[in-house]
Amino acid sequence: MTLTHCLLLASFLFCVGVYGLLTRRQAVAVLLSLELMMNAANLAFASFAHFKGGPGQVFVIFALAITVAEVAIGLALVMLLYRRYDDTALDRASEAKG
Amino acid sequence: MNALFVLAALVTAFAAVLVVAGKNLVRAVMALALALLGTAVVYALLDASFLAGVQVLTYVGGVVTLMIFGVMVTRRHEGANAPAERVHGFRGLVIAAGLFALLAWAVMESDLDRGAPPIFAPETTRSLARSLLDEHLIAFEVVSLLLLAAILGAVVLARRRDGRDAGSELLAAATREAVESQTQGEPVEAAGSARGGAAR
Amino acid sequence: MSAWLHLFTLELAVVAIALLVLLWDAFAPAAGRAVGWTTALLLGGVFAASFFVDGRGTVPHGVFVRDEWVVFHERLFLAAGILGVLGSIDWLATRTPKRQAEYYALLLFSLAGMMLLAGARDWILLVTCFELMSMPLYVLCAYGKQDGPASEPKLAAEAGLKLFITGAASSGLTLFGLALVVGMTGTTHVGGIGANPAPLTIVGMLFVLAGFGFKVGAVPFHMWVPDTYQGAPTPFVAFLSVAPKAAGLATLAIVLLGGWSADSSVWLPVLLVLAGASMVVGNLFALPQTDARRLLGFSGVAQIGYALLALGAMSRGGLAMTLFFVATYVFTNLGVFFVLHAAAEEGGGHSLARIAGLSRRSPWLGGALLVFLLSLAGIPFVAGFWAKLFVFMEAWNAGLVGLVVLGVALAVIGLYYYLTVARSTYMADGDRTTPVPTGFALRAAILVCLIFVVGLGLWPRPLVEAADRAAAGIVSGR
Repeated sequence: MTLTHCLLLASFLFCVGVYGLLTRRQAVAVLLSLELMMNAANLAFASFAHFKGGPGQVFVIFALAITVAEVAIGLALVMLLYRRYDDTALDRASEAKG
Repeated sequence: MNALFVLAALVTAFAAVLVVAGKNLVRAVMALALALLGTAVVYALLDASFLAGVQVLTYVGGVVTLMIFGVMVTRRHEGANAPAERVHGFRGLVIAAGLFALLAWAVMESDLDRGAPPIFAPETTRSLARSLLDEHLIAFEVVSLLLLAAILGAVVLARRRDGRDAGSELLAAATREAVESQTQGEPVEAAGSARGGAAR
Repeated sequence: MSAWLHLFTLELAVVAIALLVLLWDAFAPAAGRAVGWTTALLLGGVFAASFFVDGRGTVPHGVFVRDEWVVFHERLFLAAGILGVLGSIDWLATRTPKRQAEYYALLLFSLAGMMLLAGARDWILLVTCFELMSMPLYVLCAYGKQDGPASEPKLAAEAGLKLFITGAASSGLTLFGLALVVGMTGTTHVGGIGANPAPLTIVGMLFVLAGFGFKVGAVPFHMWVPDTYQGAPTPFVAFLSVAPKAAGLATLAIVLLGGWSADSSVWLPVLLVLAGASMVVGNLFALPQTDARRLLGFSGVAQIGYALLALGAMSRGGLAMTLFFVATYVFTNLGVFFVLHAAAEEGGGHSLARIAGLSRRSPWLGGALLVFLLSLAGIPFVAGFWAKLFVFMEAWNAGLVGLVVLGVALAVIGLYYYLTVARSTYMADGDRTTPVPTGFALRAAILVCLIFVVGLGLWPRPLVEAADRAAAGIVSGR
């Protein structure tokens, strides 16, 4: 277990999240992908903190708080969209085109 | 320890792929929970026991539960086996793979594992708390404002204009699910009555 | 108490107003315009107080610095906040009378985030302030028009979700980049990277830059801008289109010119490409638009390009002119959106045909719109002219000749579509002839914007000098 291994894992998680963000069209699935990206960033912070020292873990705590707030707002928005469209697929939610 | 890391890493990576590749949203949420748990194990191996605990409590305990609620509330006619709608699949794959190649190259090239072990004392939960309430006190206060704003915002969004709140809606959705699963024969009628009952 | 609490007087006052508004609504709900006017007047008081409260200094550990740079931004954000509240009063009181307090409280939270952001010199504080600014915006964006035409609530919800997904994704990008940068440098202080950054550090810096590029809506991260502008409620879009952009540019200045100035070989080419692409795409895509708000969205992308160009000059003068440009843009764009809002409020949407013949129906509104459009286009002698001129001069002095020539050419194209809009308000015949009904608060907001745009056009010197003093807080030297 080295820093390289940990960062490769974090990078992989991040890119899987990016893939989900770009390809999924159900709003909840997009939220899940965002969680993966945030989780990858946190893993990278913690890895650096372990192998190189420095303030990584404090940053993770703040990132966790931010993520939780984002989940709350995100799910509320998804529910709002669902109520107004009766569907949460982002494709249907595209009356704005131009 | 190394074997445990390899196991945790493989499980986490596999679960992450399941999150974006799965056909079923509930299973995707469960896969996310698994990925987050795997990350918690890695945290523990990285001497970040506090983070591992927080990860399990807030993420696996809180966020995943919220997500499940989100799926349940917004799943009325998609059914359990809704097709995983996907657009630009190839483009997304190319971008994600390119990004990973870039990151992997940078990680490999940066010569990370050579050199002295950490200069700083390792962060303990005690030192974590110190820096949280000393150096980062202002950010700590800002986060409290942020959470207040998020709560306020979520309430504003989820409250219906007719005064029904999100709680009753969740309850109605849960009731609906329960009724639907129990009365397989006549789900439509039963769900309709459950919904009607909650609206009153 | 601590010796540094007085540095946060204005921010604490803004938060206190937000809590006051919430408590007022909880214990004595008022349906009229009282909440809005109270908020606006109290904010005005804070703005006035900013000229008397002059705590300057640094918080222990150097995580927050209050200097001329912060003072300039506090006043700018407060002005935008006051105008944003004024412009929303009539709309909220008629459309969602029961949910006014939450709107103002969220707007004030966002405002407090912006004001704190300007002084943050620590990555953790910077990121949390940025989120405090962004989070309420996602909610306000989806703020329902409960009894509007059927498509409006849908569009607003969609706009909110789009803004949220873009914002959250860019937060993720920024956080991952920061993990790499902070991990490699070992400190959360926004500061130098050190000589010969490792590839991983460079990748991290680019991620951070891309994340903030999303937030300011620079090409190629701009796709959310027109969609959000079209879907969200117009008085809020007026605020969204100026204040967060100014805050995003301030963050870029703090990070790039303040922290990473020694590593400009990494980020400067990227920044200049973003600037050029934003100018080209923004101006060209604005041409065929038929919805006024989409047109202004793309025009906003183009204007961000000009501001990034001045940032790319990497000098104190360039940064000062970025500030001047942004300040004039704040008043001008607020004014345009308020006039559009007034013209569209009778129902019928924001298509360009909607404002045809506006100047015959309400000469006052039509004249104001003309002044704002001239300022956006950069015609002498309104504020926007000096802004564009100074930006191009600074970029030229910094040797960015190619981009300046490109920018001037594109500004001519910009002239065309801004004047097309202006022409239709004067020449074309609309389908109505009655004057446009506007509320008193909205009229006041438009008037204030008008005074600033014309005043700064005739007498730009005070703002230029203030911007120059502010820029000294980030870039020392000339």
